[in-house]
Formats: sequence, C-alpha cells, structure tokens
Amino acid sequence: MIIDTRYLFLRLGQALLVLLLAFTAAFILLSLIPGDGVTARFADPALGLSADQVAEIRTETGADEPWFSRYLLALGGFFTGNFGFSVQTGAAVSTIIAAALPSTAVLALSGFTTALVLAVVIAVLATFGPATGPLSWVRRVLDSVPSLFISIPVFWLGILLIQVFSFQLGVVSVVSPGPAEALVLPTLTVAVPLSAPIAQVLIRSITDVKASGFVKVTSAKGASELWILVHTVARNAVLPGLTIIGLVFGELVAGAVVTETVFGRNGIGQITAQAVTHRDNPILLAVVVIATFAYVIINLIVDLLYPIIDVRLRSQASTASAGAFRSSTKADASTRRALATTAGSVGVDLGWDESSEPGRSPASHETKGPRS
Amino acid sequence: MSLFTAITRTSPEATRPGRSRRANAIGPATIVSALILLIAVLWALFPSLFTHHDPNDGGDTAALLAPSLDHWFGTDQTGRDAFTRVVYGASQSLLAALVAVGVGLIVGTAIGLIAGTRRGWLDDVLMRFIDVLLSIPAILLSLSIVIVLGFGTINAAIAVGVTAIAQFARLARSEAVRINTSDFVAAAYGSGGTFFSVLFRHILPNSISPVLSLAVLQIGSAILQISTLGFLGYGTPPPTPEWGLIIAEGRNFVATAWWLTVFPGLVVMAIVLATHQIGNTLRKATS
Repeated sequence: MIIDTRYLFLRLGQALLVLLLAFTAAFILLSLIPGDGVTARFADPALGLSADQVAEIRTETGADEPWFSRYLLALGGFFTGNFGFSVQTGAAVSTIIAAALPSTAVLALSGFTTALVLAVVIAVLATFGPATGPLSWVRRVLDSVPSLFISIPVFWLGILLIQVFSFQLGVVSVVSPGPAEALVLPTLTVAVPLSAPIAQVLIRSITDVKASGFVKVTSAKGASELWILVHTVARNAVLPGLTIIGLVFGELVAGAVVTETVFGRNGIGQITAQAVTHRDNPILLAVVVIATFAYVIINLIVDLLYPIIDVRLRSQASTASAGAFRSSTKADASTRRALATTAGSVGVDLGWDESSEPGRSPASHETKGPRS
Repeated sequence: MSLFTAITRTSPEATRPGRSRRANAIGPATIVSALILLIAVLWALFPSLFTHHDPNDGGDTAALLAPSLDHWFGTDQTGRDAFTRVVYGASQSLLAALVAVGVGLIVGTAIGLIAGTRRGWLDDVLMRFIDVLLSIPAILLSLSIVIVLGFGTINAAIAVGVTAIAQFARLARSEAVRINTSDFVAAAYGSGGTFFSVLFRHILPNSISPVLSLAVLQIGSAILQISTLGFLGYGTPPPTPEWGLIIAEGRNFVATAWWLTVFPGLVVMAIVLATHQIGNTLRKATS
C-alpha cells in the first residue's frame, strides 16, 4: 500500500474538521450576526405584503427557528445542494451559482495553466539561462520578475491590458469578441500574479537542487545542462512546485473576483462582488463555503500525492502526527526551508510553523518548561 | 538587538558561497526602496508640500488634460489634478495599510504567543482557529468581514487585517515555542514568575523582531488588498482620494485618458515593490 491508511484517515478527518469549523465561522459571520435577511427583504413597504404574510414567509423559510436549528438547517442544506435564496433577487442561490460556474471554471483553468507555463519558463530561464556573456542579463532580470509580478495590482493589470491591446493596438475587440478572444486578456490578468509565487518557489528549489552533490557528480560525468535539467533537476523540483500549486488557489479566487469585475464577465467572481455591494449574505456564504471546500480538498489531494510521487516520503507519512499540518514534507528539510522563506517573501502563507515539529512531537511534552 | 543594528550585521547566509548574489547586503535596490517609502510617507503626512493643486476641486482647469509639466499625471473628468489626488490618496491608503497590519500584528501575535507559551488544549484550540482562517481564501474572508462591518476606509482595513492574523500567529507561536524551552525562561518560572510576567518580560521581547519584519513585509500586500477593496467600491467613499478608487474612477476613461489609470497604478506598484524589498532585507537580517 502506497499511502498508509491511518495517515489517510487522519488527514481526511482533519480536513473535515477544518471544513466544519470554517462553515461554522462563515455562518456566524454572515448569517447570525447580520440577523434577519427575510424581514429586511420582505418587510419593505414597496412590496405591499401584510405583516401576516411576512410572518408566513418567515415561518416557511425557517427564519423564526432558534439559531441552532437554523445552523443545522443551513448545514443540511449545504449537503443537499440547497444554499438558500438570494436576498436581492429571491432566486435560489444554487441556481445562480450553477449558472455562473462554467465561465469561472474556464477562466480559472486557462489562467492557472498559463500561470504554470509562465512560471516554468521564468524559473528555467532564471536558473539555466546564460550565466556569463552578453545575454547574462536575461537571467538577472528573470530572477526578479516574480517579486515584480506580485507587486502589480491585479485590477490595474486588467485595465492596462484592455488599454494596450484593445484601445491602442486594437488586437482584441472590446465590443463583440468571440468566446476565445474574450478569454485572452482575462486569462493573462489571472495568470501574471498567479505565476509569481510558483516561479519563485521553482527558482529556489531548482537553485537548491543544482547546488546538491548528486547534480555536481552528474555534471562531472559529462552531462549537459539540458540533460541535468530534464533528468535530475526537474524531477526533484516538482515537489515544492506541487505544494505551492495547492496553496495559490486563494490567489486564483482573488484573481477571478477582480478579473471578472474588470472585464464584466458573468461568473462567480462577479456574483461575489455584486453580493457584497447589495449586502446579499446568502450568496456570499455559499461562495465562501464552496471556495473553502475546494481549497481544502485541493490541498488534501496535494498532501496525499506526496508519498505517491516521492518514494522517500512513504515511510515518513505513516508516522505523521495529526497536529503537524503537512507533516509529510518533513523528510526534506531543505525543501521545506526554501519553500517557507520564498513563499513568505511573496506573501503566501504555507501554513507551516517552521519550528513546530519539535514542539508537536510527544517527546517534547516531557521536556517542556514549567509554567504557572 | 534592535532591528536597525540587525540589518548591518552580516548574516551567515552572506558568507556562504553559491547563495543569491545580492540578497543580503544593503544594495542600491534597498536604498532606492527606502527613498520611495520615505516619499510616500511624506506624501501622507505633508501632501501640500508636494503639490499646490486641490485634490477634490479642479477649479476652472480643463478636464482630461494630457500629462504636462504643470499636471504631471494629467487631469481627470472634472479637471482635478491626477498627481495631486495620488499624493493626497497616500494618507488614506497608508493609514489603512497600517491599521490592517496593526490588526494582524496585535491579534495574531497575541494568539501565537499565548498558544506557544501556554501550550496544551488552549494551543490546540487557538491553532485550529488559525487553520480555519487559513482555509478560507483571503479575499472571501475580507469580503465577509466588510459585508458585516459595512463599507469604509477603516472597515476595509480591519477586513484586510483579519486575513493577516494567521501568518503573525504562526510565526509568533513558533518563536514562543523556541524561546519557551530556553534556560532563562525556566529560571524565570523557577524564581516565581507568573505566566503573564514571563510572557511580557521574556517571550515577547525575544520574539518581536522576526514578527516586526513580517509586519513590514505585510504592508505591501495590505496596500494591494486595500486598493483592491477600494477599487471594488468597499473602501473609502468618493470624492476622498484613495489609490484603488482613483484607478476605478480612471477606468471609465481608458479609451480617452490612459494617464488616469497608468500613473496611479505605477505609483502603487513602486510602493508595494519597495515595501517588499525593505521587508525582505529586514527579514533576512532578523532570521
């Protein structure tokens, strides 16, 4: 068995717990604190509903129930795909989201793929580009590209692309672009900031792998740069890359919200922005819960992929403790360090506390200092 | 050791061969970054020193003038000087960024230090809470806060600050765990120190410098996130200038007045880049 069953269930249980807690937090924030969305919508005198009719609607929608049964109702609703009703339009939230999802999925997928290609190109050129000679500037410039990309306001980038490609050059039509044409600029807008953390981590891990002994040996045996890149470095750099891919999902969501607003694309991002503008809490709650679900699941898959990709981690994974998040990467301490520092510098939190392992392990509970 | 003496100390990384070439020393990039930040702070504190135009009243100036010596960034649809609005916007944007980082720093550090010093069940509970904060994509978390608090500069700043809590908490916790095992902490407890006296006298002072360098690093991303909320219309209400709002207003004129979006965006980018540079220099010096 590649993945230890105990580890699998531990990670699965942990993911479920975080999801349940995240749902609870979002429910408290968006449903309990603001109070009564039903009255806010239907008690409007312009609608001409009598007090009795409002009371009837309140009973039907469960707004009169005590908070705990409302919580259970909402939780049950999320399991059955019933996310409640929009305060603004009265339509079912599930219908609204289902209608917007395909457009966002296409944008996210194309943006993510482009970001990945961009990141690999930047990272390879920044590490394998000419070190000396007239073209050595390429390497230096590309090395600082990630920190430049991470500093660009995404909404501004979108506007800039429209300005340059639609108005100055007239390459992409703003009036009636085809479906593929309409996707080009939004994809770039999503991809540029997304590529930065991926490229940064790849640059650091390629640099580290290149400096390690086995690569020097391979090189001394007469292997070409290209051979080293393909056969030794790429294979070893893929693991940190995988981790960061799981973690940039949050950036992807932010990119979708901003990009869809700038380009006027109908999708989850635009719906989210409109929900905030109109104080439409049920829609925002559904988006938060769905996005969190996707985020947790993606990272769970990444975690479970480690032992499959890297044989060295298989024995480690089985001894992982429940408390140590992402503990399966413990084996490769240098990779962890490289990831943590580079990701930190581009504003991505890997969700590791760097020195938590000694504290988390059972042994240290015995050596723990006295406390009041 | 203060942060500033820490910078001048040669970090062990610098002497190791094969490490990144210009990462550690105070290079020209760091000096330029410091100058950019200094200018931004002066804009926020004394905007009238840098421009003699009014940020909210264009007077009888022509609308949508192209950039010139008199109007560096051109003028907008009501004849207001775009450069002046960017200069006056600094106080809103930088204040909001400071509030955001302050919220993250204070709440996050408190959670992290208490969790890392107290350990036990409280540690587990607090860290699960941090896991939850991390599991919600940052933009959605800040939008959820903003929808509850209402729109406005400070509310948007608090919303952005909440998304930074997790990072500060994790860093502070790992520092507290490290320091908690040292001999002087055991000695402090042994000589009658209480939990809070040890926390404030030993754990906090010894863990503060990496936490503060993270704070500097976070200012850049806070500026970006706040300008995003401002752009979406949840931050500072018009006509008060705020960088995200300025770009949102200029967006309506992309076809005719490119300068209304290009220049403010470049300013934001330069300032964010500068805070990242300074933050990274500080972090390398303190870690």
